[in-house]
Amino acid sequence: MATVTTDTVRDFRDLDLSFNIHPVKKDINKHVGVKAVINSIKNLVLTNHYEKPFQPEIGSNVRKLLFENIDELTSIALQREIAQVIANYEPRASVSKVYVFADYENNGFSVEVEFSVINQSDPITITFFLERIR
Amino acid sequence: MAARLQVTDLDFDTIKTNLKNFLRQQSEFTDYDFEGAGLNVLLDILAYNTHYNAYYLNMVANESFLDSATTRDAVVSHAKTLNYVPYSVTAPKATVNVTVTSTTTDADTATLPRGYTFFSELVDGISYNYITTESVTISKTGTQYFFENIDIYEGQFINFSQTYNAISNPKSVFTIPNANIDTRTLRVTVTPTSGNTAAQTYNLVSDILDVTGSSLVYFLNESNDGKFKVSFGDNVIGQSLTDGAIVNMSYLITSGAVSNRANNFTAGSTINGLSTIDVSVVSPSAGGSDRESVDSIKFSTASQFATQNRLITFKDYETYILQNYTSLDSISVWGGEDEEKPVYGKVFISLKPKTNYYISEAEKQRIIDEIIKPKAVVSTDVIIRDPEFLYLLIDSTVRYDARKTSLTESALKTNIRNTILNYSNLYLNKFSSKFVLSKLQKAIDGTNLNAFFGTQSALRVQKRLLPSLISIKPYSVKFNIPLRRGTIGNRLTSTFFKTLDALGAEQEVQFEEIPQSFSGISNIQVLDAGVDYISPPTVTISGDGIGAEAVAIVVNGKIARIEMVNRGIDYTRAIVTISDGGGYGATAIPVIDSRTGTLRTVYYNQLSERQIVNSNAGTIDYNLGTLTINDIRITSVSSPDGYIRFTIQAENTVVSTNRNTIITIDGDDPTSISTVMISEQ
Repeated sequence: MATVTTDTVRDFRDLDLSFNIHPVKKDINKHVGVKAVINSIKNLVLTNHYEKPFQPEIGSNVRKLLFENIDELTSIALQREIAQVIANYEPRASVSKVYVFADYENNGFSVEVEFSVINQSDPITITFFLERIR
Repeated sequence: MAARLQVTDLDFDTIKTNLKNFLRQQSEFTDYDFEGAGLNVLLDILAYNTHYNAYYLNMVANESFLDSATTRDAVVSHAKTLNYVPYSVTAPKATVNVTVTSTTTDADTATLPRGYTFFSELVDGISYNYITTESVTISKTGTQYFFENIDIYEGQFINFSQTYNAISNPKSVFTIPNANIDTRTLRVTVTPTSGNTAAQTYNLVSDILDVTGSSLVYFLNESNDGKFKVSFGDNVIGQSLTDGAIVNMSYLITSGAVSNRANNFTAGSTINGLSTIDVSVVSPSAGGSDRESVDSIKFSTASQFATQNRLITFKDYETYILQNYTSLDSISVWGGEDEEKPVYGKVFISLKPKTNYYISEAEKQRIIDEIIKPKAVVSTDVIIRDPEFLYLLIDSTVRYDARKTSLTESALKTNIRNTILNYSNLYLNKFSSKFVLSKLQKAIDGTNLNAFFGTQSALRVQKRLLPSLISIKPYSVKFNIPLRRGTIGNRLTSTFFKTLDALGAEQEVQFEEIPQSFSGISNIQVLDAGVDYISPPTVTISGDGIGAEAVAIVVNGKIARIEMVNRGIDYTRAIVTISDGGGYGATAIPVIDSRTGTLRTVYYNQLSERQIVNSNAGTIDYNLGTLTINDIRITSVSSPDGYIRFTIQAENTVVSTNRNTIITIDGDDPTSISTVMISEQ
């Protein structure tokens, strides 16, 4: 019997963990495509080690670093941490640059991650601000 | 075809993988495989929950069966359904004589009160309190009060009273607050509030055969937290308590096995106001044990249920005695029919206590009267035999490469010694154990696999005889295993003792096997009787020995048998030729006697020359392993413990025993393990 192989390129489709309801379909919201990848990167960076049950290796050390002195050294450590966790656990994104700036005025770090998603040509840049909240 | 969702896995990772496999078949959400995805968080939760439930169910199922339960509470609960109560901590007991020196003006009687305290010698740096459990009053003898054979127990008396409240405690259950109670010492009395106010004593029952609604009994069980609880009847099985009754429990709390073997006690306070008190030990502290372990409960529950509370088979005896006399290391039971000379209608028991070698006579009688007789079949006679020890001596030669180890020769020797003693603890020291030399050699090699090339070990066995120093008598030393006939360099020897020689002088001598002794021709078997013999033919025995002679008996022209005239000596091989007598065709073969050897007593004079005191002091039966020593007057023994030690090579390197023999390696004896280390490259 002949075997039919279909090669479908699947879209990235993920659940929105905020569980907001879609205003029209009254169904749960989805993150589709690049947005799903960005969301995944956000989750990874904000996950601590030992937070996921039975998988202590998944996560980054970002939260601990936020309690260090706000200076260049910590920035470099953060930069390495973020690049590492994405490289390890997000195969869809290939990171080209991670910038971390110590923002002394606002007592935190502003982060800029530049990466490209597989099968997509345009590089994507996301910026976010990391500060400790307790 | 789409893969089904697997539901049999218990592990978090496999559950999660199964969920992912399941999700591969849908297209609504595709990001399940990425660790950062929101969907992955949901999978984590689901897998964690599934894993948690599976684990929980597995635990519940395990604890539901006696075989697989691991928590003490569950095992005790299963035991309860089979009417088994785990034994508690048991207080060690010692027996002492107490002499109090008084003056003539003191009272005629003195009382040693219940709970009087003695302090033990230091055991591992701690002195323990031993107390009397009964009050004893005696009369003065001369100027002394002499308390004889006083039993003292390690521990402390506790009295615990509680008022029974029918509303708050409808099942009349009282938990004893101390976990380290010796339940054998528990005395329960109840004072009813109305009417008769005298305290009534309640007794423990383990089965309800004789219990009626008016019996004053209590039931004892271990409760959930390892403590014991006492409960009372319901007026159908055992009398119930009346509301407001005061339940008083008195018992001993003890430290258990730690103070076993304490052998010196001092009085804790004055007796009748007198302080010159001498305490001498009749039997040292023994019998203490810790509470029953979970493994032991599992084992005993099943086996006790199998005995059905009666002593019929020998297994019944083993189980029941182990359960009721807890400080035993090993037990062996055999019927009289299995004795060397069968004695019917008797049950033989041999007990090895945990800390000592033997059990005292009084304790044996107590075991028979209190433990065995009430449950045994009527008209069986029970005899408790002391265990007999067969000591093994291991001589090893170990070849090793000194470059491959950083340990010194003496450190290696110590390691080998520990290995041998470990082997002994693991496989020997109990009844019906088996010693296998090749296993021991393997263990010795395993001490240092890297550096050791190999081990060559020789096995010698030793029996110890406690001779009577007052009478002339014969002795029999039974190894009960085949022994090897000695050579000039390696033969049976004994330790030294003193005896009288032919001139009546005292000599320090030892037993010694006469090498190659008595290997004469035992008998001659006729293979072919031949024909036509008119007169007895000449029987010639040729071989490497000398002196053997035999004659043939002819009946009706055939050789009926050949009788030995002289057995000769020193034969290791021989041929029988039959000639003359007129006939032909007869053939016969000799049987060389190798069954018995001879013992002699010898000493060495100043010039180290061997002097023989008695050249026929006894015989050795090599096959049965029995030394028979002729009448001898032994006046003293050199070794401090009074034993004469007989050492000989064993015929086989696998030694197993039966009945009351225990194989052991005596770690206290410096000659029992000798090791020669040879360094090679």
